[in-house]
Amino acid sequence: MILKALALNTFKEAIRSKILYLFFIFGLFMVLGSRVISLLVIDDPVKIIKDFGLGSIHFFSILIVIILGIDLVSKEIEKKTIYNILSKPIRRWEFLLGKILGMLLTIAIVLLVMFIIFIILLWIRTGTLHLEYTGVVYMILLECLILTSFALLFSTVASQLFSTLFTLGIFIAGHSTEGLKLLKNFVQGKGIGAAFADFLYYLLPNLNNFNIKNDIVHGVTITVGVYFEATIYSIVYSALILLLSVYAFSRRNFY
Amino acid sequence: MNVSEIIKIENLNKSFKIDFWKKTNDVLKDVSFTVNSGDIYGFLGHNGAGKTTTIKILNGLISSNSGIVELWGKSPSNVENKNKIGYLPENPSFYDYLTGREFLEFYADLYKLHTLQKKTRIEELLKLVKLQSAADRQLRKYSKGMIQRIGLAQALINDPELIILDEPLSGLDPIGRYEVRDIILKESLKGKTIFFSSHLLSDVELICDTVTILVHGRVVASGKIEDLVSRQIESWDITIETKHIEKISSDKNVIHSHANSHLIRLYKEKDIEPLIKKTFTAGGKIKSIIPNRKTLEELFIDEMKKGEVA
Repeated sequence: MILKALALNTFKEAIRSKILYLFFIFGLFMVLGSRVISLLVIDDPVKIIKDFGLGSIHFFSILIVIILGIDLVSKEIEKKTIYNILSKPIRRWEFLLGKILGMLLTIAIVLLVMFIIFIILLWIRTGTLHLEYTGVVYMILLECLILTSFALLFSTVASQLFSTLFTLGIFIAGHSTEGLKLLKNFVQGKGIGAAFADFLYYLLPNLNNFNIKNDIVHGVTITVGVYFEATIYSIVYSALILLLSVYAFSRRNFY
Repeated sequence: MNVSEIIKIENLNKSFKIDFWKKTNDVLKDVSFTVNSGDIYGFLGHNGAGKTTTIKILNGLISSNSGIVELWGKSPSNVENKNKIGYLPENPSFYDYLTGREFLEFYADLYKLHTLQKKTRIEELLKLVKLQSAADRQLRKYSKGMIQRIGLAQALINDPELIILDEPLSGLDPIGRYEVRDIILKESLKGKTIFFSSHLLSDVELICDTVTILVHGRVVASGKIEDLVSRQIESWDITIETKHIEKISSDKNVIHSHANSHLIRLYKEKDIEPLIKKTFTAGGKIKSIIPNRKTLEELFIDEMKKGEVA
């Protein structure tokens, strides 16, 4: 009940803030953007709507995670709302978990709405409902969970500017882990350099694990096992980052 | 532990840095006091005396450096204890995207109130703080006084045994202050323990039975108000009726004269008897002898000055 109350409060804050504007911008951007591009490029217009639509869904959901995620705790401290909430009979880990769940709910609904717009757009063009893209959106949600947990961690220990930069950094690094393998080959698999590349490879989240966009667009079948593994990976990784946040947050004094 | 002892603070010390580059500031120095069940306890001090820090330690928001801080014999971070506490922070800031009603519902959920109980309690509180008509408005549209009142309502949502209020009267207009005082007194009549900080002495004097005065992080006076103020008789004002005042008292003691009536102020108790004798010898009459006791305000200012000298 406490977690539900905390999560719903985070959700209410989100939907009553900037996010609605983002929705609007996204809708316009996607509808206008894919039409304009399909007119300009000599390619299959349906393929452009798919690529551009899914790319936009990914881009906007990450943007929302960063914009709202870095505020999760730092705004409570800055606005001094933290004093009252932490004096209530809740544990500090419940406060943080409630925040993550609220963000997850927000992102899930944002993704759902964006996905519906995308499906309708595609349906107008092709006359069929392309529900095979549901998996792509689910994977984006899992990626958002990991990024939210990072944003929350940074939000508990750093200022908004640094939180934004660090979360963005994790997003970029998380999509570049393959590059670390290349780096390891470059230093010929030996010495401190290789060990460091290995260390980073296993430490950073491999966000490419969640990218099945191209596979689906090209008609590759994704097995249930892939979704299952991705789910476990996302939950375990986020839980570990959440533990770090709880550790930092529970020792904090609120002067 | 005494059964009726609710808050126990013994030799509490706290120091922290306001800024990384500044030196450590001793905010609380050997603070000790006890709040008993049913008290309306005033926690007095100038701005920056350490009142809010103490209250934040009581709520588990800040940890202490040393000393004992207990609520019902347990640590302030004890979550079960928090079910019995209602707290209103200083200059409160709340989730302004919520409406008054949603705001109270949220806090009711944190105290795990049942649906029916929650509904009744919220209506009761909205009526108590006179915000029924603004209940469905977002808090960002509330005035400062309204925020303070909805804050008071959330502090009472769980029908707490102990109500901790940090400067509940500051920033309120006279009617608002009267209403908040009234709510505090009503809660006290229900047997609740109220601990509240203030720098407004008149309000404290009106409703508190016990006070602790904090000056620069140190307790300078603590106890029942009547003990603290009555202990200190400052002077005696004696009204005498006589035609020969020059035979009775020197000019410097006569502070006011009107026709044959004279007001004499004496600062030493031993001077009273000789004055009475002289008055009778000169054929005069004693109309009244009034001891001038220190008010809480004077006591506070004296202690402040002493604290500053120290």
